[in-house]
Amino acid sequence: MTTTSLVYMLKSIKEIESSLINDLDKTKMEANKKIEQAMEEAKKIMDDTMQRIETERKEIQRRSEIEIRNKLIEIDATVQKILNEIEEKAKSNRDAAINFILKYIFGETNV
Amino acid sequence: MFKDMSESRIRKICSYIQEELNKQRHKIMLDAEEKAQKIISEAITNAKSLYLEKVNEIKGEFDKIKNKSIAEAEFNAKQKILKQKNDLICSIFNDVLNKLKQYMTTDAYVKFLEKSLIEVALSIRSGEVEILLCDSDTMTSESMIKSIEEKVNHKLNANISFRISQERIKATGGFIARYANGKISYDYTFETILDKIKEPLRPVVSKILFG
Repeated sequence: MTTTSLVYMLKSIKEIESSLINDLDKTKMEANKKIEQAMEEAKKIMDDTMQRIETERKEIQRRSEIEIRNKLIEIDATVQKILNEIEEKAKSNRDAAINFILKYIFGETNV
Repeated sequence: MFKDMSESRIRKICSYIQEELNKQRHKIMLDAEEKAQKIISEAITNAKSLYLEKVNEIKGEFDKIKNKSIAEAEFNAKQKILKQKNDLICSIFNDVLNKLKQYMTTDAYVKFLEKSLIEVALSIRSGEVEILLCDSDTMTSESMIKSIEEKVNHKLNANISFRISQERIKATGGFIARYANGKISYDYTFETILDKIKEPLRPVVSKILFG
């Protein structure tokens, strides 16, 4: 092999190598882009999740407020019913209670 | 011929480099693909667990608020019922005080005087007791008191002298007995009696009223 042919060969190889390295860089860029896209997608997944959590939070709050409101209405109704019953009982037993205290004061009864 | 040989070698070398490079490119893409998949799959897993954790946390937080609100409402409800009962019991005692006015001119009041003066006598046994009547008392007389005195002394074998004071007290009914120049006094006014019996009688009155 002559020097000329060797030079020619090396030159050709160099050219091809340069072209291939260029291709390799493109591939690396493409790979990085893929990873970046994946990271963006991952970020979107997390953002969506945070959004879903916020939506769920509002829903849980709404349901909880309804439950509390209903329970308070129920308690109020029960209390009102009890108060009415107490009032009624007190009305019908009022005289008995007064007479009992009077008898106690005048020594006609003991506790 | 020589050139052909060279070209053939170059092609071979290039082909080899190309092949190696392709392998490398393929591997780079495969690694990137794998890494991308891993990133996404980790994000999905993290998102799922974050979602569950946060939702449970939120549920717990609102459960606490709910339980606290309900507990407060129940406590307030109980207080309201207790207050209502208490108000009704107080109103009964007020009614009793009004009713007691009507007893001022009855035999029951005389019995009350006698019973109360016996209690006083049991405490002191002998000496002079000054009786302060209330300003509305128009029935109790000196002679009535003297009659009670006689009964008490006889019953208790005591030596007590009851005397109605000129001083009158402001009360619905009853009296105040003073002994030892006013150093000891026994308050039998209706107001004080009611005040004293209010607490001990409350459970019984409550039972009678509310069943």
